[in-house]
Order: sequence, then C-alpha cells, then structure tokens
Amino acid sequence: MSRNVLTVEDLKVTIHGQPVVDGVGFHVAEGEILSVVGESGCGKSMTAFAVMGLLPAVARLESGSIRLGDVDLTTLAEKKRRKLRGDDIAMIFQEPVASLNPLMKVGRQIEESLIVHRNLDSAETRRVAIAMLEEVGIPEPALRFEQYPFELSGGMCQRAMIAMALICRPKLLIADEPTTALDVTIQAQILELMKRLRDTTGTTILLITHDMGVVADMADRVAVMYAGRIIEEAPVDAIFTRQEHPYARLLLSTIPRLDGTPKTVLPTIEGTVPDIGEWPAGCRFNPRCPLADRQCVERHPPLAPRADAGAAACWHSDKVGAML
Amino acid sequence: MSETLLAMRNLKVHFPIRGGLFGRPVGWIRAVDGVDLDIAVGQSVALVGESGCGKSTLGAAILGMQRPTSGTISFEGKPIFHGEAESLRALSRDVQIVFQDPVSALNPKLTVGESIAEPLAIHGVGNAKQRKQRVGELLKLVGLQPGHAARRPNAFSGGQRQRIVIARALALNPKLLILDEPVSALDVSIRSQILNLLLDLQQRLHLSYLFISHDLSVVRHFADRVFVMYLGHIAETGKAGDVFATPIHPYTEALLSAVPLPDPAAQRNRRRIVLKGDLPSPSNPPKGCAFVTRCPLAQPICREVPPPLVAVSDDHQAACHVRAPQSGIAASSAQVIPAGSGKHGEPI
Repeated sequence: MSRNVLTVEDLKVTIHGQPVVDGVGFHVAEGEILSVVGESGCGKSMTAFAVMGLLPAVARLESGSIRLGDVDLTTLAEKKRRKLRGDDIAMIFQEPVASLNPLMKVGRQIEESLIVHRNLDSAETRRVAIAMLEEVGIPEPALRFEQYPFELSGGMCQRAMIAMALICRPKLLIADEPTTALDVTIQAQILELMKRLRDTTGTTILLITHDMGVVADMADRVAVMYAGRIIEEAPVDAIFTRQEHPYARLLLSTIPRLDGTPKTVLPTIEGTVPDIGEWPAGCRFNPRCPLADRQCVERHPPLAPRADAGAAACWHSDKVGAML
Repeated sequence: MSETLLAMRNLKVHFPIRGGLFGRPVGWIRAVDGVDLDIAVGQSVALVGESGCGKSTLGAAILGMQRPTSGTISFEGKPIFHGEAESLRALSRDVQIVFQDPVSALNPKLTVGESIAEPLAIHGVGNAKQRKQRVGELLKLVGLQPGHAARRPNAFSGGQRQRIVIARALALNPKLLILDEPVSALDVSIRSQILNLLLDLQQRLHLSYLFISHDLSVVRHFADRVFVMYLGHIAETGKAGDVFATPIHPYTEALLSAVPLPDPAAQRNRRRIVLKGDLPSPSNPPKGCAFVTRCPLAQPICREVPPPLVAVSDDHQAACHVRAPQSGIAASSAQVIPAGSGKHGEPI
C-alpha cells in the first residue's frame, strides 16, 4: 500500500455559523486520482479550498485536520503554508480565462511559482517555463510565453493553468471542475493531458466534478458528497457497479446515457437539493429518499463499510440495490 | 413522411467586424453559413455542436430575433419576413424559446403569474380573469400549483424556475419550442425531471422541438433527428439512431468518442479520438472543408473545395470528401482511406 499524500479528517467549515462542510474525511494515496462528486452546494469546492488554505474570508475552518504527508496544514503558520502552496500543493480552477491575470503575460504567470519557490536565474526560469508549456501541449510555446491570456483560446488557457500548477512538480494537484467550462473535444484533450501527467510524474490528483462521465474516465476512487457530508466512498468500479446509498444510486440512474434507450422516462430524484442552513436533521437525504423511515429522520447514519470495498452512510444500505 | 412545420433553405447569418475608419466592416464573422434544416410536426430536432459553431445564432434566426444575411425560413409554408413587425408578431405566437439559465430568464420583480401572463397580454388574449385562469392551467401543466402564481421567482429552486419558463413559453400554444440548452444550468439530480416533463409535454401537446445542446447524452435521449454543426456548416444530419450508431463525418465521430461514458469498464475499452487544436475563428474559416485544420483524415481536396452534404444512406447525409464522396469528384481520395479501414477512428 502506497502512503497517503493527503489525509483529511473530520473537516468542518462554516459560513456565518452555518455548516457548509460537516465532518468530511478522506485520504488520497500517492499517484491516485480521487474524485469528489456532488451537486452545487454540497461542499465539494469548499473542501478543496480548505485543503488549499484558500477559504473565502466569510468561511471559517471550525475543526478537523488536513495532513499533507505528515504535516498538519491546519496548525501551520500562514508563512509556512504559503511556502507549500504552489510548490507542494497546486490547484486548477473551473474558469481558466477568469483565473488568469488578464494584464500579465502568460509566461510571466507561469514563472511566478518558480520565482517564489525556486532560486533560479531568469534565463533558467524562462527555459523551465517554456518547457512546461510544451509539456502541456501548447504549440509554439516560446510565442505563447510572450502573449496575454486574451490571445489564447479557452482550452489553451486551461493548459496554461495546468502548466502554472505543475511547474514546481507539486505532490498534490487539486482540480476543481477543470473541464466544466470547456467544449467536449477540448475536455477530451485536457483529461488526456491530466492522465498522462499523472502517469509520467506520479502527481496525486484530487478531482472535484459533478460529471459522472469524467469520474468514470479519470478516477481511481470516488467520494460522493451530499449536503456537506460524504455519503458514499469506494473504488471507481465498485461504486459504478453497486451503490449502497440511495442518492448515489439515483444520481447514477437519472443520467441519460449515450448507450441508453432513448425517449424512455428517466428515473428522477424528487424535490431539490436543500440550501445551506436548511439541511434536515438525521440523514440529510431523507426528505427526497424513497427508503426513508423514522430512523432516517431522527438519526444521522455514520459511514459504515460497504460489503466489498469503501463505505456508505445509509441505515438501509442493504435495500438500495433493489430500489429501482 | 409527416408534415413539414419549418423549412430553412441556405440560411446565412454574417456579422460585420467593425473597425477602421467610420466603423466600416473590416471583415465578416460567418456564424451560420448556408444551412438547410427542416422540422416536421411533432418532431424533436437536435442541433449539436461546440461553442462558436453557430447553433444559437441559428435558433435566434428562427425566432425572428436575428435577421439573416441571406436564405429563407418558412413556417407552415409561409415565409418569415425578418423586416416586418407583423410577420414576426405572428411568428412569436407559434415559436417560443426556453433559455439555458432560468434564473436570468425570469424578471425577479414580477410574480410568476405576471411573467406567464405577459405573452397573453401582449397578444391580447382573453381578459384579465381568463388570463389568470390560463396561468393556473399552465402551472398545473408543468407540475406546479396554480397557487404559485402569486410568488416571485426567488421563492423557487432552479428546476422549478425552469418549469415556470416552460409554462411561459407554452402560454400562447406555440407549435415549435426552441430549447437552448434547457438543462445545462440545472443540478444533475434535477435534469431528469425536466427532460421527462419536456417529453411528456411533447406527447400531450403535439409540440415540435428544436433542441440546441452540446450534451450528446441528452440529445441521444431526446432527439428524433440530429444536425451536427461545425463552424456555421452542417457537417452531418440524419435520424438520431443512425447518426449515433454509425457516424460518418470524422467530426461527429470525434465528438461522440469524446463524451465520457458514466461506466468505468466501458470507458477503459473505448478508443477516444482526441482532436488536435481548437475551432478556427469563424471570421477566417479554412478555404475548403471547415473541419480540415483538425481532421485526422484530411486530403489535399479538403483544403481546396468545401464538401457538399451527400446522402450516405436513406435519410443520412454527411459533408465529407473522404467518407461521403460525391460521385466522380472525390472518388480517388475516397480510395486512399476507405471508411472502416485501419485509419478509421485511429487516435491521433
């Protein structure tokens, strides 16, 4: 068993006293891609920001630990943490165009991490940055190096972001919906690139997404979040074959598929995702769950081991298979 | 063959790039560049393509919101005159649109009832009491309650707001609904509710749909007929089943192979065709085939001559010199790479 690059335990984040991440724990092993899946407001991005140490000012880290290797990031002084950010941990965001500084040349933005974290002379910095641009598949890297973000397409900007994130060879890459804003043929390029980089450099990836197709394509392991909690977690094949939480089961069954039967009535999940601050007591999925009973309303189910591998948080996990 | 509702012939929409002295056009963006498209009564037609391919501009032209540069659109056999207010007013009774983002599509200051009644009032349908009753009917039709009419949009979730937008679009009993990415902005767990509703409404009201989307899984589920658009041109069209089962155009093939299946085992065994590069700028399209800059099968002829749409089987057409050669012209290049040979679908 390879060692864990990232270990998160019992993470709690609040905004104005309302929990947004509520007791989340997971680990990612070296070279592994863990995908955190969930809908808007489930806390997946907040979890990523907490790991990165970039929580917005209104959010507060209440409790829990985030360990990068053996170092607990939550107790680390900001100065030391800043040393890790961009060096050992890096992040890429959903909106590549909005995430780049429009007034700064692309090359300069990629060099920035090197200048901060590595003590190289300017010629060497430039050489490494151009090599990185080439590595992420940007044609004419020396030309692009001198251009501004507006001169690059969306796919190219995302490649530049990935180059920026990987320039210091981080141990952990956090990718928050890296392809959501991109077209499907460009998405294919970026996913291939991320897989190739993982295979060649052994980078550990925490991939945040809502797209089950991207999960199936990329992940080694999957954690499904709902209303601030992880409700099921398992290796990718196991969770796509069999789900032990009704939300995971329904979510997978509601998606129209290329290989499905057209024009049939799709299974639905009744109701809507509860807003932050309006999470119900007990199991948070209980108002929408066809299996819910009194126990589910009264007591919050803990994550318990699944029959094969992984864990699920449902009082009726044995009945989930027969639901649809 | 069922009755034709909408017929579009050689439609072009070009936008000027202003610049130079006195803002004269210095170039043209060819957003839609010669498109033929038919929609039959009760049919779901999907228009697929990536951002910048011209699919939304085409939708706007059908709605009368965008004046075409040339070409014709006729609705129920009558041509649409984009310059004439009366023609557009009549059209707006029959053609309505549902936008992607229900949050920005509803006026936050109007009650839901006022929003839904607005098209009725504009077209002078009924009196206030009748309109109120109609609003109640429409809300029930989309799975909400008549009592919801008095609330404002912020009282509703995204999925409910999209239901309201659909109710408003249906107020005037339109014959054609343009659905511009109707579920893309919704939570995944809500999408299937809206897709089921749209399929149900189509059966009950005998509606025709023009479904504009980049989500091929949703299109596969929804559409009878598919038009694949690339850089203002139709690359391929046919029955949804045919296009998805046996894509002819290399772009369609790449597009389909790029959609990740929500099934890890199947996904590992698929061969993904990863296209190089990006969509070229529609202001400076390639001279021959629009797809030539990214095409793995490109031949010399593709750089010179734009390929016409050629029938490859009954009711299935593609515009590709290599895969759908015109008799005579491109026969030689077709033999270089016969469809289905080793080069077929090879990843680049």
